[in-house]
Amino acid sequence: MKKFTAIGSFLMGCLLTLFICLPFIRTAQQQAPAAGAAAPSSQAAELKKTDHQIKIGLLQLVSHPSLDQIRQGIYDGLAKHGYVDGENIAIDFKNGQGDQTLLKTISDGFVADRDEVLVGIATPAAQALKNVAGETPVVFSGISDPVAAGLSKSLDKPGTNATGTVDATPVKEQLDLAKAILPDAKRMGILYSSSSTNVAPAVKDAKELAAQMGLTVVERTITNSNELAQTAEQLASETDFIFVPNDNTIASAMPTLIAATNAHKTPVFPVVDAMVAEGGLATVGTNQHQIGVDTAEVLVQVLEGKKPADVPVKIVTAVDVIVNSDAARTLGLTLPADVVKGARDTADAGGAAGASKSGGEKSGGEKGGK
Amino acid sequence: MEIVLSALSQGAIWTLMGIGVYITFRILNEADLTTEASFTLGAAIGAQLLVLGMNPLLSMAVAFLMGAAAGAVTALLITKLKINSLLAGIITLTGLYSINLAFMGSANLSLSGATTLKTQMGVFGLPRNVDTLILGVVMILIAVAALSYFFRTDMGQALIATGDNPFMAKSLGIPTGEMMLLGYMLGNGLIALSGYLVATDSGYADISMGIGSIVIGLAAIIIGEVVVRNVSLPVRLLAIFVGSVIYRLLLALVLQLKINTDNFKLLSAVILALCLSIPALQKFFAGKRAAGLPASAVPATPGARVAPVAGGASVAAGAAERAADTGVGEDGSEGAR
Repeated sequence: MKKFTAIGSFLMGCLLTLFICLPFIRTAQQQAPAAGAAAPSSQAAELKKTDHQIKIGLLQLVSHPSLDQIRQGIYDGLAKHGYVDGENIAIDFKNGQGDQTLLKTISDGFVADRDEVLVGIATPAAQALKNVAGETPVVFSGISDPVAAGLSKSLDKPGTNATGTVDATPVKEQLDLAKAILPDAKRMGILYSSSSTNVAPAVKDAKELAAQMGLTVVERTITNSNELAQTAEQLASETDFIFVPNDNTIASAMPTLIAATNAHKTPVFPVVDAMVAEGGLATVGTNQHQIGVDTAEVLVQVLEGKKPADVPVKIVTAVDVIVNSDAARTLGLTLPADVVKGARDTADAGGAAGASKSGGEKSGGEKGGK
Repeated sequence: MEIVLSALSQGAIWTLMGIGVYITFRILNEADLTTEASFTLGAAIGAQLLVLGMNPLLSMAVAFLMGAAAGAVTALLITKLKINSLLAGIITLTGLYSINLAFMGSANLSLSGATTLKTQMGVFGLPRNVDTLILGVVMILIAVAALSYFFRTDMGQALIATGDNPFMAKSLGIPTGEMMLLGYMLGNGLIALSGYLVATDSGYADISMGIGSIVIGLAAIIIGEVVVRNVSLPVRLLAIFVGSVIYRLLLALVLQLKINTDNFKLLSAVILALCLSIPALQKFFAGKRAAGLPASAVPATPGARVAPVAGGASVAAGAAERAADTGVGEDGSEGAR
């Protein structure tokens, strides 16, 4: 009676076959629409002459739309300055896929490969790189507080081997926007994950500003996405709108959040445009693509020989007002005309997934703001 | 009402997880950590197949079978390579992380735009959460009916005997290794199914969604056992649904009480520990109150009593011991299961 061993072995074989075949099927399916997505923009300047192909290690914490946009921005920004991947520079892109232990291994790999500049997207990735980099310059991106994260000593003069960009959340503009859309709002919810250190400054600012504006604040945290549905449900039922800082866990689980909040007709104001595209109502967001482009500018200075210790951290100020008219319709809200004017509407850009990808390219031209 | 409905629907789709854990944890008497990864596996492979446009029912079947494959890996590590069962689970769980990533292609795979069971149910225009609840309840009923039938067959009885006392079962000619393999495959298949349903419900699969899932499964089983005692196996499995919903409600209550949500995990652990210790606590207090009371007044861990009937019921030492512990009337009778 060995039939279960036989069945089990057969199933294991199937699992292995799928493991080997599925990535091929997936890429074959995605080939058509994704063609050219990763290619640098056509607006590339002339290639800079370098004596050799410069090796760059690029580490991203996890794939989600806003971090992917930062990455695309870096490629585009580099191209604009005449550095094209595969031509005069070679970018070794690795994705940590959210696995913290993997970040260290990848970083070690970069150092072993003698990459000349390391680039980290999101705080844990940049920290992992800096810890192993030694003298190798590190450029960070997608970070709210590099000083608290121990990456640089100060913004003006990093004093370490790491420099890059900060994208402080424009909380004040955020809350003003929420007030403009919902003048009667009394209770504001704040939702973020307790494991994220990235959001602390935004949460602190939001609480202070909300108090000044006479809003009651209800603060909730989650430890992982399994808790999101219930926590969001509860928070949505007791607040007039919910503010979501730049939180990677929630960004990955927007559909869950939106399903819960829509049921209570509670608008969500995230701080990232990609999160608006996935169902948030509106934001004054740091332009994610612009963060990448600005990072590329810092990166170019480092590539051209400046010491990171002397390159000031660039503060990304480009903000966009982004609204989602689909979400407004679902919530039964009318967006005030002065808000819609000049704002980018994610509903125009097609489906949610499409919007977050193509939105990055579009917004490059419309950054304005302050 | 909203909250109750949310708890019901979430409880429903997580119940299959509880039933899967029940098979390994209570019937086979093993703590199987494969769970945390086979749950994600079901979600990952199901989501990817859905995105590729496969029929939802077909992809659900694939998710079940691949979950079973994961269970088979762990069981073969235990039976053939003689690896400690906890370690075997951890080995499979570690390996599956990469496999899950390969299936999804990234740490997070959105189902927006894909045809799922939930979007197919959209044509009925059901209110939110009700579609999930119906889906979950239908799956629970199918699973419970199939398992109840299975555990009445000779093979099912052999599986139960293997869990109760592997040495005795072996001496009776039951191929315990094969039975363990079957149990692990069934359990993890159901867990993968639960992962598939959760991914369908939340609209995405995420590489970290399985973390802590075994706690949710165990909590459902244990709360179910505390609420409903001394029942037959089909009812016991249905009680997991009750336990799963109560666990969700407890968490909702915690939120209602405005307890700092940073302490969510601690509270889950406390709820779980309290429920697990109820039998012991009851024994302790009952013993204090009246030392001479008959033992039947003190029910032992209710779910642990899966006494085999056919093929040497009362000879199985473990079962006999437990039966004695719980008093007469349940030993070997239908009621015990």
